[in-house]
Amino acid sequence: MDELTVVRELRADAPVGAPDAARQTLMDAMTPSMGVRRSRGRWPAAAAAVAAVVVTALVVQTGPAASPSAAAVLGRAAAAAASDPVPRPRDDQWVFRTMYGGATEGGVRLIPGEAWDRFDGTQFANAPSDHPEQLHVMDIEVDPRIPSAAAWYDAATRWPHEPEALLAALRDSGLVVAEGGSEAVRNYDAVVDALGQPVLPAQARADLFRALATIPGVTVDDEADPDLLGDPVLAVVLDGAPDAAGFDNRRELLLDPQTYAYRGERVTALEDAPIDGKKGSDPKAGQTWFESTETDPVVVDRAGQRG
Amino acid sequence: MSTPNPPPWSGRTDPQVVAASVHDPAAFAEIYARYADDVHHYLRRRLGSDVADDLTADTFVAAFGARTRFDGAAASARPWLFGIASNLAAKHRRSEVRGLRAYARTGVDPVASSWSDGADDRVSAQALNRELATALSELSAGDRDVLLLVAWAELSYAEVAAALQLPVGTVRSRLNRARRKVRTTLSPGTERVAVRPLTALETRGGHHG
Repeated sequence: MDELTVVRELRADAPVGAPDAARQTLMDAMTPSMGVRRSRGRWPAAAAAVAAVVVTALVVQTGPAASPSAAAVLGRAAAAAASDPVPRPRDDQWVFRTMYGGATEGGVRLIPGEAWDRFDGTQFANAPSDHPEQLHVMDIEVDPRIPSAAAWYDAATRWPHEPEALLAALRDSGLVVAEGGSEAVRNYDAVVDALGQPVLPAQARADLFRALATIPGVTVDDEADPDLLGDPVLAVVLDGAPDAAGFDNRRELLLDPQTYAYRGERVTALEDAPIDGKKGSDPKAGQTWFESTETDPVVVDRAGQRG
Repeated sequence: MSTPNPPPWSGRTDPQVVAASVHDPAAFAEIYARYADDVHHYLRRRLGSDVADDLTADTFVAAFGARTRFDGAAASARPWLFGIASNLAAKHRRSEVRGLRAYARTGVDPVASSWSDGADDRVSAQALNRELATALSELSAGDRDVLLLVAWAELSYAEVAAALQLPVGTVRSRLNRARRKVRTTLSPGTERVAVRPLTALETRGGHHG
């Protein structure tokens, strides 16, 4: 097999045709006296959630079983979160994210891709990747079991700050579904669910990191496997965490190592554990059976905008 | 300055068109017409549709700005343009490697997703392409540039040398190294040696005559 032939065939199905906008940009540059260069849509370089990292570690109240390094790291994450104000978007603004991965079902990885959620939850939009200009906007019937980003934000402004009270408030909020096989797992899942919400008040995010540090068994792994995009991540780990069926998993909350922004999650089976109760089916011990990676969310005025 | 009957460009060489564009900027549109699709296609395969759209525009704007320095003795503007495109693509090196690693890990190519549906069901090609993506991600940037300019932009050694401003010997050794890396990754273990089929004589245990 000639390796050059193999390379030639990779992505050979890419469509041919430079976009008209590129030609127009050149035309504009060729005649600068004729007006302003048209701006081109660009990927957002960084989202509002990226914060200047505060390096001084705060003294954090920790539960007896959290490892010291986890307390220090989560303390820094809390400081970073607290120093990055997140104003409440308008109800008619949208949250844009790109998501990769998901549950493995039959070996196929699901890629939701680019998605826009209206902040008040009344609409959802996405676009086929081969026709990104064909935005498909859908009206959503608000389902109280799927809280909108606004519902989360507004609830979070009223949460207690103290870790034990915050965990109780989360459990009672009706916002999270935490069904793990131990109290530590249920608390961990609730906090991770909350931290995965795209827009939360800065204080609430900081309090969530501090609460995470009080959960027994939580550790930090700064040599975790990279995320689905190959980027390095910092993992906040709960090992030996039995799920609702009693099977042990390793749960990881993945954070940006510099900004502590939410990057995604991973769950790895620690023992052979059939997902649907059928013995002998996936996942096997050591298998990562859930993984997601998300880009930093961006608040935009209209669906289809990326920043 | 425009003339009532602009000269037809079809008979003119690239250097002639570029030279004309020094004083008649509108002539540069012909260079775009000749090469934009090829440059865009190459960038699209490396970095996906969105980045390719931006970088294609940037390539031609940069070329337009540098047109007075274009070597009049060059046979074609193609290597020049691909050189500029490669330099611009270099700034997206990290995301290129990320995309290749994601492809290797998940079997789904985020670059190809930018022009096709997410579900790629060419299952038979999966394993090979994932290994290829691994190999490409592990090449040095310089080796990868040379390999892909040859494989995707279909430049000759001399054209790659002109594009990247390197000696031809360096181009040749980078390409060899890249090809060896790909070959080794796709066929792990010892390289297969062609086995000569036994002749009828030999199968009879060496009887002669």
